[in-house]
Amino acid sequence: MDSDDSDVVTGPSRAQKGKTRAIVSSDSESDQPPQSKQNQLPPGRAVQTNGPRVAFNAQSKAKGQAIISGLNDRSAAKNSEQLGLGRDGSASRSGTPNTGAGGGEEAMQVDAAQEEEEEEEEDFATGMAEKGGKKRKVGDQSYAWEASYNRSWDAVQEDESGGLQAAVEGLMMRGRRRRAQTSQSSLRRSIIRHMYILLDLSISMNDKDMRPTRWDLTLQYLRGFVMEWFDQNPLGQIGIIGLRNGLGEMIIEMGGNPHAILAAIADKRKLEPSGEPSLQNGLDMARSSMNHLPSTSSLEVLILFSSLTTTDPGSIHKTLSKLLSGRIRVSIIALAAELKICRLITEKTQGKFGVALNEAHYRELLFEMVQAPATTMQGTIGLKSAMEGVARRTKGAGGSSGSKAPPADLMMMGFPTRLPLAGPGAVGLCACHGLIRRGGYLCPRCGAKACEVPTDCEVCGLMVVSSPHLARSYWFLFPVHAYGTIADSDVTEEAEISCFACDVPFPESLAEEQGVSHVEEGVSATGRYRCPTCRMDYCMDCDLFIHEILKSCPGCAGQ
Amino acid sequence: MDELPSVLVAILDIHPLSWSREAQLAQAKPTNDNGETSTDTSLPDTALYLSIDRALDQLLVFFNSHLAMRWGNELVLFVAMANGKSELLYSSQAPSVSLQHDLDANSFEPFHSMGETISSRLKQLLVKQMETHEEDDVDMDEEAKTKLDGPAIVPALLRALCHINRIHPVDSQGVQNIQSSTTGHYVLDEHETKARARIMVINNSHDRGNGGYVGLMNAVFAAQKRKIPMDILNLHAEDSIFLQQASHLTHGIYYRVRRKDGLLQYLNLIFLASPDTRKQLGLPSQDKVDFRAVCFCHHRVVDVGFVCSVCLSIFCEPKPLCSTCKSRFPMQSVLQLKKSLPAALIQSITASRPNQTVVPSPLAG
Repeated sequence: MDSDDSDVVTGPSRAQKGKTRAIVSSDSESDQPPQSKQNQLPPGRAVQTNGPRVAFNAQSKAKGQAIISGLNDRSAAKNSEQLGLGRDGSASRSGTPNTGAGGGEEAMQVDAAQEEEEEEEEDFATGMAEKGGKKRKVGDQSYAWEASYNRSWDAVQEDESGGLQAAVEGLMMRGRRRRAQTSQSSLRRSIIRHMYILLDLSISMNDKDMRPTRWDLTLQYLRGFVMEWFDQNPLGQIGIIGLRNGLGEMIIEMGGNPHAILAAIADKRKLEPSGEPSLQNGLDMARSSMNHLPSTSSLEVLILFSSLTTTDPGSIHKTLSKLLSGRIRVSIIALAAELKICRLITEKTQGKFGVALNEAHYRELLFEMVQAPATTMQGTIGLKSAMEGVARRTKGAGGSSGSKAPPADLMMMGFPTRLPLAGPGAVGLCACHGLIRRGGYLCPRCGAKACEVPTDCEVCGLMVVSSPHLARSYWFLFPVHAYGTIADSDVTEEAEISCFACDVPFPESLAEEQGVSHVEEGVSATGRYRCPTCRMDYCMDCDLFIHEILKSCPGCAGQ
Repeated sequence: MDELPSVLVAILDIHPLSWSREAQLAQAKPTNDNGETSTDTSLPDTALYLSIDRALDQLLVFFNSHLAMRWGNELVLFVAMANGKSELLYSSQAPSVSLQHDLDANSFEPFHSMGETISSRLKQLLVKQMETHEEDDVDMDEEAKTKLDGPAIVPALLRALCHINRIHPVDSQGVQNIQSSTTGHYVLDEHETKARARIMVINNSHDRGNGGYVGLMNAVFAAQKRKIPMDILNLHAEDSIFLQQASHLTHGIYYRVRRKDGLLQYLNLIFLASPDTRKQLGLPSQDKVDFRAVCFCHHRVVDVGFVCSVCLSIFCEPKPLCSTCKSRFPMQSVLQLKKSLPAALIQSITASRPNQTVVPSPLAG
């Protein structure tokens, strides 16, 4: 499970290296209960360190390192060298022992023979876990159950002059680069979405590997998710099903009102985790509730799955085939580990599957679901889409749904007039409830009054929607082109001295001259970013703002 | 209540056609009826037409009062010109010092310099604009002229939002940007800003809704996210449905001035109060908001449209193929909708006739 263990060394012949190995191995085993750790230590290692037994506590970590390095200089040096820690053993922060000190502890633990008390062992375990987090951060992201401290300060590196400007800019640049990677070709996305969120409420949600607990975190993220989702998909609907005690439990029926959904997940007492989840029951429930929906909208199920087991009444593969025939796309975010069945379901239904590494990654995975899924790649109408159809048929995924392009239809919609809440004409009978109400919306075709939009007119049956609802989705029909960087040589005399959007002057000197050690890829040394269409220059702040929030290029709008 | 300083970002429409027409009409006799039937003819001339210099005088008084309202208030002025051009005319944070003007012992220096800067720069721009407009008139064909007809309010709005984002960012800007770039999403919580920004559009042109509809809507959504209200002061005789929608969606104020001789009074009584204070005031509420949209095919304003189920593009007539996402629609439904189209139109006309004021006819747009 862990690539760090490539240099597995056992046996007395390579005694020095064995000690380093001890650290690594305990990293990888820190998910195991601490009691079992000692039994798993390779036998060769206990022999090596014969130093005196040092009473270990949190304060003497650095001291421990000193003793050990005095004891066995070569090994300590090797420890720190191998782990890429050039500095001395005393860590800059007292709460975070560096790995060198950890090596000392491990050695001492080994030396202290088998009769260590349980509590002390737990101390060690946290120490190990920290190291695990630290070590893996160097290469990759750590799993939440391996790290107990969030070392946010490790994410930023100071530049030569000790400033953080470069680091911050580098972080901002990630967004730029990601954008550059995504192709500019227009994707076909479903816009009218119906989604059931299957919320695992099994006992495993009480695990504390994500702070405060998986359950608390999920509810917290879910609130933000629902708001963001409705912001981006105003014509969509969401329902929530809870999975606990082996049953699917309808928490809220599918609806288009974000406040109703937030209210349903606000009361935590009603959502207490208990028992085992049942994937099949939940999926069946979601499927049967979405049976009646039209095929033009995108039917989705999002499962936030925390458990490693599922308690099903029958074969889940039967449910899977029903999901396929119902054209329901299932996406799963696993909080613990990848499960074969989850992977299978998402692959067959063309959903997404992800395992959340830690809190931030969980959020990232969840919020990826905000954007509507691409239904097909948009190509030329004739040949390409036909070939896509063939390719999908041969792949076998999607069954009947994959064999042809998703159906499109033309819908007649009316854009209503909103009545004022006061003044003449404000009060009238509404067609939907038959009550005298203030305000409301008038159907443009028959003039009947409806209380809320979007709705179908009660009198003439016209679909009445508010045009801003439709306009929400236009940004991905007309995406802003990624801005290109401008090299120093391209800045001519006629070039504007300030950003076109915010009118703040561009820096006169280059980034290198300002003490930035190196300019990352995708960062413009001149601080200018040029729109390929309107040839206007923008600063980095405006570039980010335009692409992430505004979704419209000010220069192109004037052309 | 601890009120925050407010930043007023004003966008002034200085489209030469609309203002020159105003000026001509202001001089001409009222017998010269130019289709201005919607306004009350019993009003005196001065109430109906306003020349730009008189409007500017009153606006400057309003800007001065805004700056005087509270320490820390800021003013940014953009102008929306013809041919899709927009310009930052004045910013109280970085007043241009290059312009020389006489010191006046009887006036407060910042106000005086602001007035001088704005009026002199505006004069420059207007002259330049007239020149380019005349040039363009010669070498531009009719189609291009109509396309660029109307002031560049949308580009100015987009620039104004960028300006607010850069100059008056939210408090937790640094943190927020890091989060946004690592997770790919801006954290759109309710954050307290150091200053409340608001946008005010002073429009004097007919709203044709061509071109910038998508841009305007994007600007509206960005303003919604940042909680920036958009106030609209409409000097034109007709309501502008899209600016009306914008102010409704961002909880701003929309007001169409009926008597232009009282412009300053409207400005000071309706638009001067900061967004925090507005809750306590009885300000004019918007009456009907028209949620009509612009079709993608002919840029017509429609109230019953045909919408592609895949990309939600709006068309004014049934088509077999979506021009935006290239989806093909089943012929059956296209024919069916075509059949229902005249009926729908007739129905809506007859329905709207008896009470014209309540239901807007689709043909009026």
